[in-house]
Order: sequence, then C-alpha cells, then structure tokens
Amino acid sequence: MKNKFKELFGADLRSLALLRMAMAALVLMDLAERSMDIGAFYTDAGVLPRRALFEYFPEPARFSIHLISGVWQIQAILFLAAAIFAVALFAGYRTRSVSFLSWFFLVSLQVRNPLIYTLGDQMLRLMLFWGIFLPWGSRWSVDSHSNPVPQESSSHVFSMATFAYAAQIIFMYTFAAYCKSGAEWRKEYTAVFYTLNLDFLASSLGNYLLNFPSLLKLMTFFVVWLETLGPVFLFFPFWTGPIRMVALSFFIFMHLGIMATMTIGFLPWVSIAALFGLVPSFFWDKIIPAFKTQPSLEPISRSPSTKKAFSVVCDSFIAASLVYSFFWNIWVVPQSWFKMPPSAVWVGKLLYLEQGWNVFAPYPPKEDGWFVMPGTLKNGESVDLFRGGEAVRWEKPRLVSKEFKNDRWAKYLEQVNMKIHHGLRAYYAHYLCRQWNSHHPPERALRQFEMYYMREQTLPGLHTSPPQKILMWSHKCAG
Amino acid sequence: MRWLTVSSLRNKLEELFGADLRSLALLRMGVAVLVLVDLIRRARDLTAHYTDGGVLPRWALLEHHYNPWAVSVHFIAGSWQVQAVLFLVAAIFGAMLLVGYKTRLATIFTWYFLMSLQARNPFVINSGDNLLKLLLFWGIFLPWGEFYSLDRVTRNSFAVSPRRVFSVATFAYFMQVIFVYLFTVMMKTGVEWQSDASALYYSLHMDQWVTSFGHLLGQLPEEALKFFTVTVVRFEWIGPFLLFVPVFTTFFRLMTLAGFFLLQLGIGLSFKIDLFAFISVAAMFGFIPSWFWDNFIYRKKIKEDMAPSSGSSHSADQNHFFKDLAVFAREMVLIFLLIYVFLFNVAFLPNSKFLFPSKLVWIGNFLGLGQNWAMFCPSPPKETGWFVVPGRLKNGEWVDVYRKGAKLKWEKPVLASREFKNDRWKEYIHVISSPERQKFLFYYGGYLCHEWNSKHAGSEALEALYIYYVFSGTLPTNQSSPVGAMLLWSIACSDEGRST
Repeated sequence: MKNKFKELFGADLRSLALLRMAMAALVLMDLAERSMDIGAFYTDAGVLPRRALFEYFPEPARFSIHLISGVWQIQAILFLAAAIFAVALFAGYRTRSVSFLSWFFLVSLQVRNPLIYTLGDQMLRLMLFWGIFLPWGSRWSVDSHSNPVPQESSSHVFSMATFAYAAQIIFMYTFAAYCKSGAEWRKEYTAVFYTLNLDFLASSLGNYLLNFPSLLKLMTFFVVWLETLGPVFLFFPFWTGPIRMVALSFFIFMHLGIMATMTIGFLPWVSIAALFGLVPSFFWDKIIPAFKTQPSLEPISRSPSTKKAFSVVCDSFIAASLVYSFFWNIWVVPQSWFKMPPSAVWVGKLLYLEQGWNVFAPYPPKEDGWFVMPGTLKNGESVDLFRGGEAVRWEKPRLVSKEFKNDRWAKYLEQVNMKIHHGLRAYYAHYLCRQWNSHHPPERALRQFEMYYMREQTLPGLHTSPPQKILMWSHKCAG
Repeated sequence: MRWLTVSSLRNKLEELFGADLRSLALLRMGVAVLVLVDLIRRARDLTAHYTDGGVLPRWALLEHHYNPWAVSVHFIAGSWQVQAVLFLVAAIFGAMLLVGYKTRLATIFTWYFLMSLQARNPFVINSGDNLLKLLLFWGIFLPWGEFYSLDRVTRNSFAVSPRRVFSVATFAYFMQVIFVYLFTVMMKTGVEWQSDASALYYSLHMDQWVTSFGHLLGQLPEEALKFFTVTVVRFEWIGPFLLFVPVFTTFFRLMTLAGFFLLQLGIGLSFKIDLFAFISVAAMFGFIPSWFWDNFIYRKKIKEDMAPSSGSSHSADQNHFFKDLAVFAREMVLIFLLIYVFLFNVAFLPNSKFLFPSKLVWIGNFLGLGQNWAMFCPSPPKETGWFVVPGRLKNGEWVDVYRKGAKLKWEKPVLASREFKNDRWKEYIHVISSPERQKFLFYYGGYLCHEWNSKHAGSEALEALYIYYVFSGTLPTNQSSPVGAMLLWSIACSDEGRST
C-alpha cells in the first residue's frame, strides 16, 4: 500500500530531467518573445509605467526585481540575466540555485506587467516553484557529471516535492473541470463553439471548424470528461505505467488540439511540458530501452544528520505550500464555502502561489470584437493606428487574431478594454503618439486619434449580432 | 633599497597622495560601522519611510520626483517584510565589510544597497549620507581590505605586503573628501559668513537643528561667535591645503586632522544632523599618516618588515599585459569620474558660468556621484520652523495629531529640535515643507490619518487635519520674532487619504 503510494506520487529522475529541460526551454522562449516588447511593456516609457502599475495594481506584498528601474537598458540586463539562469537550468548546472533564480526572475517579470499575464504564465511559474525542490538536476545535467555520487536504489524517487508536483497537476485539471459548471459545458456542449467564436483567439483552423457544430459538441464532451476523469487515470493504482501513458497521450492530444485551433500564447506548450515529469519509468525502461543502461547517478546524498534536519524543514515548507495552494484553489472557485483569512493572503502574494484555473468558466464569453483606431495626421491624412498606418476600414477583418502583433498584445488589449482599466488607456494613447511620431516625419505627425472597439455578440447557431461601435478613448497628442 | 631608484619628486607625491594601508583599513571599518548604525537607526521607521503604507509610497516618488537612472532594489516591493529582508541583506554585507571578508565584493554590495536605500527615500537624507555613499564608491577601488581583515588572515602570504599605496584611487578618495570642505566654503558667500560674521549666531538659533549644547553656545557673546565664524571659514579654506604640505608633511597632516576633528566635534556637539559629524570624522581616517602607525601604535614592532613599497612587484606571468591593461583602463575610468565629480561641484558654485552638460547627468545619477555641499550656504536660514497639525475628531474636539493628541500649542517650543521623532523625520518634515514639495503633504496627511485612526475609533476617530508650518524668525539681538503659522495642507480623513 505504502509502496503503491510512493510509486504513484513519486517520479522517475529521467522524466524530471526532461521536465527541467522543457521548463528551461519555455522560460527562454518566453523571454525571447517578451524581449520584442521590452520598451512597451516593461519601461516607464511604455504602456504601463511603474507608477501606473502601483496605482492600478496596489500589491505591496508582491516583489519584482524589474521594478528597480524604468529604463530599457536595465530591463535588458535583467532579461539577459534571466536568460543566463535559464540556460544554466537547461544544462543542469548548479541546478538548485538556478532553479530558484529562474523562478525569482520569472515571478519578477510577471509581477512587472500583470496586464499581459496569461494562464500559461501561471502554469510555468508554479512548475518552476515546485521545481526548486524537485531532484530534477539528477540526470542529464552538468551537475550529475561533475559530481557523481553512486545511487543506491532505482531511478524512481519519492519525496514531498514529487508529491507536491503531482498534486499541482491534479489541482490544475480538477479545478478547471469543477469550474466549468455552465450548461454550455455540461448540457448543451456548445462551449467549444462559443470559444472558437472568440475572434481574437481563433486560429484559421479554429474558424473553419465552426462549420461542424456536431464535431464541436464532441470536442466539448471530450474536454470536460478528460479534465474530470483524466487525473484518476494518471494516478491509477493498477497497471500504472501503461494506463498513465494512455492518459498522458490523451492530455497531450487535447493540448495539441487547443494549440491548432486557438492562439492563446504558450499555454498549450507549458501544459504539455508540465506533464513530462509524470512520464512513468515504464516509458524509459520498456519503450525507449536505450536509456535503461544509463548509469545510475544520484547527487543528493541524504546521510549527514544536518542535511536530514534541513530536509525536514524543506519538506515541511513544501507541505505547507501545498496545503496553502489547495486552499487557495478552494477559495477562488465560484460560490466557495472557504475564505482565505486576510492575514494569510500575503503569503500567497509574496511566493506567488496564487492560482486559479477557471478558464472559459463557468462558460466561455459570448462577445468579442476587434479594434479600429482612426487618427488624423498633420497633413490631414487619416490612418488606422492599430494597423500600423493603413487606411481606416470598419468592416471585420478576415481573421481577427492575426491583427495583433503577438499574443501579449492581444492580452494587453483585452485587459485595457475592460472598464476597470479605463484609466490605463491614457498611457496606451501616450505610447501610441510617441511611437508614431518618432517613426514618422513631422509633416506626418499624429495630431489626434480615437480608439474604437467593435463589439460583436455571438448568438446560438451560426449567427453574430451586427457590430457595435464603442468609443474607448479619444486623444490629442502633445506637441 | 628599492625605492631609492625612483625620483624624489615621485617619492614626495607618493607620500602626499598615497595612503597607508592601515589607515585605509581603519577607514573601511569606520565606514562599515556607520553603515550598520545607520541601518539600525533607519529600521525604526521601516514602515513609515520605506513602504507603500508610509509617507512616501513608491508611486508618489515616481510621479513627483522621477529619476530614471536611479536603480533602486528597494523598489522591488512595498511591504515591510521585503524591506526588512533588504535591510538584513545590507547589514550582512556591512558586517562583511567590517571584518574584511571578501572585501571588494562586500564594498560593492554595501555601496549599492546604501545608494538604493537612499534612492528609495531621498527626503530623509542629509549631506552626511551622501558622503558615506561616496566614500563607499571610491572605496570599491581602494585596497582597504589589506589590513585588519579576514581576507588578510586567509591569504597565505601576508608577510611581504607593502604598508603604503599610491594610486588614482587613493588620490580620488583624498580629493573627494577635500571637495566637501572646499566647495562648501566657496559657496558660503553670504555677508553672514563673510563681512559681518554672524553666520554661527544664526545657525545656532535655528532651533530645529541644534542640541541643547548648541543652544547654550548660541547665547555666547557676539564677539565670541564672530571669532568662531571667522575661524571656521578660514579653516575650511586652509585645512584642505594643509593636508598636503610638502615639508614636514606628517606634522602638518596630523595637526590638520586634529583641526578637522575639533571642527566636527563642535558640529556634532552643537547640531543634531543624524550621523553627519561621525561620517565626516570617519571620512578622514584614510589621511592618517604612516608615522601614526609606525611610531605611535606599533612602536615596539621590529623595523625590518616595514619595507614600504608602492608598486605591484608580484606575479610576472603571461597575463601581465592584460592585467596592466585592465589596471590602466580602471585608472582612466577613475580619472574620468574624478573630473566628472569636480565639474559637478563647480557647476553648483554661485555665479558659475559652467553649466553641467545635461547629456552626462545620467552617469552621476546612475552611480550616485551627484553631490552638492551647500550647507548653510550662501547664508544660514534665519528661521526656526516646526509642525503643528490640528485635527478635528468626530466628537468635535481638536487635538494636535503631530503630538499624539496633545493639546494644541502655538508658542515656540523651548527647543524646536525636540519636536521631531528623530533626525530622519526632521529631514523629511523639512523637505516637504518647502513649497515645491507640497504634493507630498498629501501622502503625509494620509499617513497621519491612517496612523491615528488605526489606534482610535468611534468618537475619537479623526475627521480632518490641517498641517501647519509654524515658524519664528531669528532677530540679530538674541530674540526671536513673533510666531507665524502657514497652512500647508488640509485633508479629510474619511477616505484616509489613501485614494490617489
């Protein structure tokens, strides 16, 4: 019984190494993608200067090293430092320290600009947090080569950290399924239809699939039940290895499907990579037997008593964090019976254990739209600022999700379009003026412009309401 | 002896502008102790001065006092918990500096953390804080970990280390310290410092800055105060030059140091300006001549290992060229920065035709090299000022919120310097009462409301408060003019002043 528990919630060191490398690669990918917009998203000259951040997101308990300065030069140095740590994490060089530092820098980056924060970021951050405690540098790492300590037992390990990691995966799917309580998910199975109708998310394939309503119903059914029952099969007490392989394939299939039909940043990538640590030993030993002969190395020796005492402290911390995360999840589900005591909230803010998995829940939004930002130049010309100075067109673009520079900008516009962030539009407007005027000659200088949101409602069936033209902001450029 | 081969001129220059390693070590320890003491003293106001719940939230600073090149790690969070961790980290580096463990690294971090702390709240600092920061900056390049340090103990060969060094860094350090005195005296152009020599009289009557001793000193006969004023001005002019007299160097150096010590003792006894006098004294430790150590401290020591040397006579490996190149580059940078600092000071001089190039200002902001030694310049202010903050409670009663609910009193206090919680608070109050900083009164008012209402509730709760600056001018006749009061700000407390 005890052994079974350890088998279920332990992990294979090779899988953990794969998880480590995947997470490091994703951090690098994230940094590379974000670095395209350093000036816009992370400096005081961008769309969210630090003072605006403090004003609109007053979170004194959160920390971010990116707040030390508002100039792009310093931000670039911080990006570079984070990238170096991520490379070290990939290579497994001083794994424990660089895991911590990678987590620290990732949290910092996410706290610096909450407007472009996505579910994928949440997932990646939490994986790095648990990764700090996982023995994920024991295989395929510089550490294991430079400091080989023979390992007594197999490559399967169980610790508080592996348990916490497994639990985090369970939380993610279970709470996501629990939150999807709307009839669209549970009875009518129209959720995927409505989701793919969100023009700013749908890829061209997603758009095309709208022509097959019954297929979409099937997909809805598949998603809901996989998220509900999947975790059970991931940790099935019999034939654990093979069954887990099948369950993993299903999950990966689902995420690949999301990736193909929606442009929601790197969430599907992170979701797939996050599962790597669950790959059973069965996979390495039976399916890829080449790795079976890998010499067993285990750099973490547990003999000295001081280390033992330290590991007790560590385990207690992990356990406490896990319990805390669990209650946080309970707290944020709709109509929860539990309320996090206000005096305990800062812990979740500080360690950024905050999480919520209510994606498209209880049901997907049923309205969406696109942006038109007509501006008048000094020479009287009128241009669309949102489309880099093209002629103004009011009709719906062929594929709305392609209109955004990247997923971060799509997220940003979604956020700034919310009523509570009305005041932040001023910073965006300033930014647009500055950008335009620094790239164009004085006679084509921007005088003034308006931001419009063309709102469209999704009706049942294949219909959408006629678009509504909503003025978000009107702005006169300075100077 | 090796150093007979170098010319005697160079020899003299080394004696004048080189430093004894033991003196530099003393400088290091003095600076480290002051950093630690400073941290402990500042920690008393951790919440009020360094968190978003205090008198200067991060956004207030960014909105009204924006310095894009100030890179402050204290901005990473607004909670007292994170600030406390940063204080602790700074203290660890300060302790490392004190014992000389990984000295270079400890110096860099101590410097950065101090600069960062000062950038987080620029309204509570004085010239002494700036000097401490600058000492740490030049200290990065000084060999001040060679003596009295763990680094020395753990290094295997310490028998042959030289006693004296001469480098651009020692020169820059010396110049930095004398700039303080030279530029402050050059800015003392008011008649009070020059012709009618009443500056000390007026300084000692600015009650918010003086101790009770200073207050007594202010009652001295006019002639005595005039004499002191003239002496101070003359000494600030001559002292810096007396430190570098080419004949009887040691004698003049020791006498001058004693003079500076007396000057700072006088300042420290008479004025309450936080650690200013201590920092100024410690700043001079590096000037202590070798004679002091050889004949005074280590009198009985054997003379043979006293072989003084200045060059780096060790290691002749292949990397020699690159090492030399690195040293050369470093010295060039230091020379540039020294000139930079000099010009920065020149730009502040009265009637200065020189305008500091605005394109270069960022360097000073980035490295914290900005400095302005205008203290009581061009003349000392002739006013004593303090705060009275009448607050209206829900039950209609009026109390002085500034004085924890005491009865309102508008008369001049016996000694205004006792009206402040501590010197940092005094500096803060002083800064925000100036007309161009009035926006910050909003945050101060909000803080006072919040403080009061977290301790009082119901009918005792604060409804509104009015921040008054109360002042009394200093007359030339040992009297003060009648008290005046100026309403700086009023705030309704219902919203606790927290909304922006």
